[in-house]
Amino acid sequence: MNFNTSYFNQMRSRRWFLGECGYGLGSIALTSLMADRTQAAPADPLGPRQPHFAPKVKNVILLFMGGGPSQHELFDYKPKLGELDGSLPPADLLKDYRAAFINPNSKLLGPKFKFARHGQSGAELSETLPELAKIADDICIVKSLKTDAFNHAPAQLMMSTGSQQFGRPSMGAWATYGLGSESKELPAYVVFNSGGKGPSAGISNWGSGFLPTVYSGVEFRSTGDPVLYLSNPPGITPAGQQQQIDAINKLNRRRLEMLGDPEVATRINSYEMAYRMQASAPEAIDLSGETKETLDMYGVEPEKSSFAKNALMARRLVERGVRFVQLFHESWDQHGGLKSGIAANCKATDQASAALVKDLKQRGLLDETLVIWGGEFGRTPMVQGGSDGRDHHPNCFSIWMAGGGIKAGYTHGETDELGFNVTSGEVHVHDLHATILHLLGFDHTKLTYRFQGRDYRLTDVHGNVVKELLA
Amino acid sequence: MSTTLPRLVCLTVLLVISFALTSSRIQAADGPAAPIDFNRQIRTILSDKCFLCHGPDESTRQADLRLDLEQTAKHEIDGVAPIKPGDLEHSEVLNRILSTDASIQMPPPEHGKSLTPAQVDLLKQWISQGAPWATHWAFTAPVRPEVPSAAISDWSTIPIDQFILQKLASNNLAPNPPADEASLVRRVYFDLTGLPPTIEELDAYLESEHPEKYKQLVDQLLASPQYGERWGREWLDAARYSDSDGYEKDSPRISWLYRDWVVNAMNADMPYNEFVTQQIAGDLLPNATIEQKIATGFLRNSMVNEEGGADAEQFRVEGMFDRMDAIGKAILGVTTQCAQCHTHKYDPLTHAEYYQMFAFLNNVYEADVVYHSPAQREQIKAIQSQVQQLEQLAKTQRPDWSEKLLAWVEQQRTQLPSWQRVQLERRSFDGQKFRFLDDKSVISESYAPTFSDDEFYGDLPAGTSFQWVRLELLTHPQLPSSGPGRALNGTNALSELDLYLLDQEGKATELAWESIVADVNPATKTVDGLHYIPSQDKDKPRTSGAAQFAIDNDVKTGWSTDFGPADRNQSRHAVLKLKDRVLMPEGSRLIVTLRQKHGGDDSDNKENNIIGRFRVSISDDPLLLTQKDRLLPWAVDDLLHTDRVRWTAENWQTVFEYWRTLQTDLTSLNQQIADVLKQFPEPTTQLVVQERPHPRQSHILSRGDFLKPTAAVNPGVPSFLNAMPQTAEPDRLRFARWMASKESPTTARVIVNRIWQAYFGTGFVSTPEDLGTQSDPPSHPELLDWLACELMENEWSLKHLHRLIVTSSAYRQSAHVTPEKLERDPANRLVSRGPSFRLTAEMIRDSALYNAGLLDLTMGGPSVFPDAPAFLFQKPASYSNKQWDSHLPGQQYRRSMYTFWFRSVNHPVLQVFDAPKADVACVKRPRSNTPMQALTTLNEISFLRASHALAARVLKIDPTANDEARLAYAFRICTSRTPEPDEMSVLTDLLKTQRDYYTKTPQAAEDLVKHSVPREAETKCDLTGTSITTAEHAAWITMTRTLLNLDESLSK
Repeated sequence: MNFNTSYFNQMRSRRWFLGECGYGLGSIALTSLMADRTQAAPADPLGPRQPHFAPKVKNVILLFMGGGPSQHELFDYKPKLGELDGSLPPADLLKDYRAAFINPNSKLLGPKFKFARHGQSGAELSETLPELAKIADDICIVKSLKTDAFNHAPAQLMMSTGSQQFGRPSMGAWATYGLGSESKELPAYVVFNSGGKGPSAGISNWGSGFLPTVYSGVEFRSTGDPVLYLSNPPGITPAGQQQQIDAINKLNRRRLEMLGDPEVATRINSYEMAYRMQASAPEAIDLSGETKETLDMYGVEPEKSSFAKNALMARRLVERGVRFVQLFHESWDQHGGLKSGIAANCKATDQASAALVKDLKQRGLLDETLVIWGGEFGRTPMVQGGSDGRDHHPNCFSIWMAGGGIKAGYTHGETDELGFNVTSGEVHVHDLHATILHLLGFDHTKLTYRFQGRDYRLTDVHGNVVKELLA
Repeated sequence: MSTTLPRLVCLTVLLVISFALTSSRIQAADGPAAPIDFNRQIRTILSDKCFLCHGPDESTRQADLRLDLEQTAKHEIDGVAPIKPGDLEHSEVLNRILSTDASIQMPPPEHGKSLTPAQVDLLKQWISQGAPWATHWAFTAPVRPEVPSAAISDWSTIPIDQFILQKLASNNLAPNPPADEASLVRRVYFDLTGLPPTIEELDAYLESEHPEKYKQLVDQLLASPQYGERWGREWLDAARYSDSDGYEKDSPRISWLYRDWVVNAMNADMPYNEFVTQQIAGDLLPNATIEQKIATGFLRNSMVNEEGGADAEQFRVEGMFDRMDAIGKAILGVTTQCAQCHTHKYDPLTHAEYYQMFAFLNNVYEADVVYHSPAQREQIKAIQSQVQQLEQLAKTQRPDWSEKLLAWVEQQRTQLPSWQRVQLERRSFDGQKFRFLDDKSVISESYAPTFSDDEFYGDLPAGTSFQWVRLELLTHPQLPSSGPGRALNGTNALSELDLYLLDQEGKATELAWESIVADVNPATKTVDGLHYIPSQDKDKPRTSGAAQFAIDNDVKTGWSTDFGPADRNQSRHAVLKLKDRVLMPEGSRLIVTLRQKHGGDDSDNKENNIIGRFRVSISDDPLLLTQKDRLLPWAVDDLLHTDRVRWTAENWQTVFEYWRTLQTDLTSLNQQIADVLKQFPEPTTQLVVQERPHPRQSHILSRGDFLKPTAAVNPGVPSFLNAMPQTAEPDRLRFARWMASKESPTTARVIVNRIWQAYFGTGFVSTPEDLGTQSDPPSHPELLDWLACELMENEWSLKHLHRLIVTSSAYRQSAHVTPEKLERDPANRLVSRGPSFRLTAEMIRDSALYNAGLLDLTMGGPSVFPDAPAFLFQKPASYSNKQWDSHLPGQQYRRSMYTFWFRSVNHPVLQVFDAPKADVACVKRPRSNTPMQALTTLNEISFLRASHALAARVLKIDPTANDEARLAYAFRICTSRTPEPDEMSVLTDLLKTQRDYYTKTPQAAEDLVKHSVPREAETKCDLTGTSITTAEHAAWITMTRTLLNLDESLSK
């Protein structure tokens, strides 16, 4: 059987096929990528693209600590808060302050853990982060993050999409829209979930909003099928699958020839990539090739789902050209059980987070990868409940970053003596977004998409690149 | 500073200088001067490049210059104007655009919005032609344009075709020949019903020689119930319909009656203006029916945030913004979101006008209505008539009943104890929020815990003495089924009520109860009224029942007011007597504690069982010393406090119903009545809006922040749209009628545009949510207006519109694309060919099941749970463990539009094919084409079941049929056409390899057949008793799997 008629060859010669045939992918009009609507739309929405200027990194791994980790127990040591434990906060601090759960006029609660300085940089970390302490000189701690929302879902959306309202594209979607994909076999944007439950803002955390849906994050699992419906049904072998897909594509090529619609060519490509993904995705999550040292470094037990396993997956995916990996670990909402909760969460995440940075570094990948660890907001210096809980707090919280273009061994920003407000070096979530896009090679004011008559961007009308964080 | 300063200074100051700098560069544009269309060619440039700083928004306006208004844009000073008609040299806007001096160049280089040479050229031509101005096309009501006389042989002469032909001709394109009949029939079936034609339907059409057979088919499809489902689903996207609340908890909600209302309205061809009116204000129509109230579910499709600590008012306002956004996108085609925070940058919608529109919608309770199906309504009628007969009998037995009743009322009125309401203040803080109302009642809002100890301070003047406490459980429109509880059916159970005296030193002493009486004491039952099993009570089940349970020091028992569906949602009360009289000491306070431990184990699934609204009063009235063992029903008590002269017949009936239960000689009749009422059917509910009796004052919210209200605003419409007539109708109804009016410039155009988009892939305006100044000009402005007028002048009949479109020659063209057309009309905006593209998510799944003979065409009712990977609905993939009842019967094969839609976890099959998440209104689905889709149709279980059933179906035809005949049959089911020989040869080759494999590998055959056997439809596919082997069935499953995955099977 030969379908290569002249018309078909003509199309082939016009490079409508496979590698290049993303043309018309989903009839998506990719307007205004660079805020210039006269520029021709890129042919393949997932084809690799150059950003505005030379990027510092090409991959991002976001370790999203859902629930709101307590800065008081992790990064932002306030001896004064310990001294004032049990007393009421100054009244002027509480003016116009709204809390989610507690009566704002609740007693102050001192830090639950000891802190010490680590590394040459002398980064101050709590004793619950012993592994992070060992790479203190590789990371940049930001103690002065600030957000606008103090309920989980809106605050997570703020972190993930730059807006408290639903319907906006996530950071990973923007990055993929701007840079395309380097992998022909794996999705460009992959998401993992671990911890007690799923993230509060759900799939909108990795949604494409008004961007084309090809830029949505794809949920992976570290056990079973990594991607939904990846496995053939029982009784269909890879060979059988290939025979059937070959038949589908033979008939689809004939249809392409008859109809001339490039969308059919894209479908052919989709089926071929699906087939390739059936081999490459299981390979990507197959840890049998990892050494015992590596598994131990992360603390991975191969049969068990865990944050550690997801962190190792993140490295493996980045190695394979996945652009943006987002790990959600939703378990940091310590309204009560603060001390034991933080300790348990650190046990689950500290080692693997530090291992990820070390592993990327030893493989020479850290220079081209940005690792971010953080949640959607911080926690109150005031107590919730008896003496072992804290409420949501948007005024200040802490994160850390590591990787290409980031000033390692640096701690940025200061909060007041109670860890209530930022006193210097404020980094709003919009500023963080601007900085991340900058590292990826984008002017955040120019990575736009026209929707509802307006050029939208991740940072809306806000955001400044935080130069101090840059190496 | 020096580089930015000049731009901030009034433009006119600089005119002379800049004129000198740039005049030498200005030349007339080249080429013949074809008349420039201001709206299409110029306004878009000005809007995109200039309006941000020189447009409607005063707060960001630079140099006090407006270019969106003709008057200001052409305002001349000293012979120079921003735009001087016919005078390029003295048109400062042009000078600035052409300037190379970065300090005065416009748009400022750092904005990155420079004009292209072609755009500059257009501006020059336009100014040279006298700079004619026009109102934005979409902001004046459509006027029926003249139909062009373009025509070609074998094309119809209906106006659609003439408009299309004219445009094609002006682009030097010719239309395609008509599609072959089978392709056309397939197209129109999918377009009108969302399903493909069956082979029988296809054959009947092909064989018919009736000259009007196509028109007949169209009429038949428009009359089929599936039409309403297909086009109803289209509207439900815009209405952001979902079965869950969204946000973190994303709890299930009951809203499917609205979905069914939409489908029914489509099928009944409800005029579109009425369709819109009912959804905005159906409840305010005179004598509104239950269906008209249900229609307002449109406004309630907004998300609700009940996560712990959420401020109810904040998220009520977010919901209001969402309503405005949905109306803007779905009905008006005007982007409203910008004006939430500031005056619109491009369209003439001011910040104040946004909140004036907001005010129309702001005066509502987020309520729900109780709904009984028509059959239940009959049942209720029968119950009521039985009760009435029995009561009549009672009256006959007691001819003196009215005197006795009156005497009883008079006597009761003298025995009403006086109560002092206690002002409560929140003492305990958890995620639940309380609102303290003026009548001293307290309403629970936002997060609804399943377990809580809610503590309140109560302040009474020192020296107050009391021995009795009254607890009222009160209904409220915002509670489920009006309450008084917050459980799904509006009930609750109070585990314990505790009272403490807090002395000056902060020491709390518990006050002991002596007794409690209530107006209801339901029989004891285990807590099973909600759909959960309380996991922590396996050993000792919790119970609810009589009021005594609230003071028995056992939190496993609780007082419930649930007396069954007949009178469940009523205000109730209890009176508690303290062992000792309390005399309030100086400086002490009361602490009232509601212990509520009767919820389920998951607050994320609305498993609470808490009080919705309550009030506490105290008394020391000696009348209470003689109280009986049962209180007057709350409603009767309440009536007795009012002037009986004003009682209505209904009020008297309420009192009578109670009075008769006190008559010992009527015991048997009362028992009979009680028995009859036990038959009262359980209703379902629907989220609706309900007008508040006392208007809520709306304000402009600075930056859209609900904590920053500024000026008060009253309902009003934006001045750039049609004026609103003054009538005596309620505001929200006036607003609805205003939108649904023929004078509205956008309403008809918006729906016409969206329907066109559904047929052809792109609307006349490519941005269906926005017809404003930032939108691209329409591809066929005259046709858009002509169709809008046609719709309005035909009683807003959508079916009329559909009939016109699908009977046009434009629609009936072949879909073949030549390279030339692909280049010159890539997205088919000019309709140079017939529409053919990937089906919607629902159509893809529905057609696979339908082709296999599995689809269940039952319409309406609660949403269903077709199989999906269970982990998706469990932590940590999902925030909470969601109920996904796929084990129940009847869940697998319903049309996809009935799939339960959790906003945070969409059904993966629908999600992967771009079904909207429903978090915001969606008026244009993307149409992606991805490997994940391929994996889904290849491997997902419903598609495998379809392959299995279709294979069985094919194998069961004529036993003498050969492979080719069976393949041709299956191919035709999937694609509506017969395969060509070269295609057949691909298929027979594949069949041979698959048959060989499965014959040699019986285990694989068995695995495949077993895995894909369609649950609940096993008998349909049963091949036992035939000569067909498992290997043969397996081989054919791979064949039908292949066929169902063809691009052609997935396309219309």
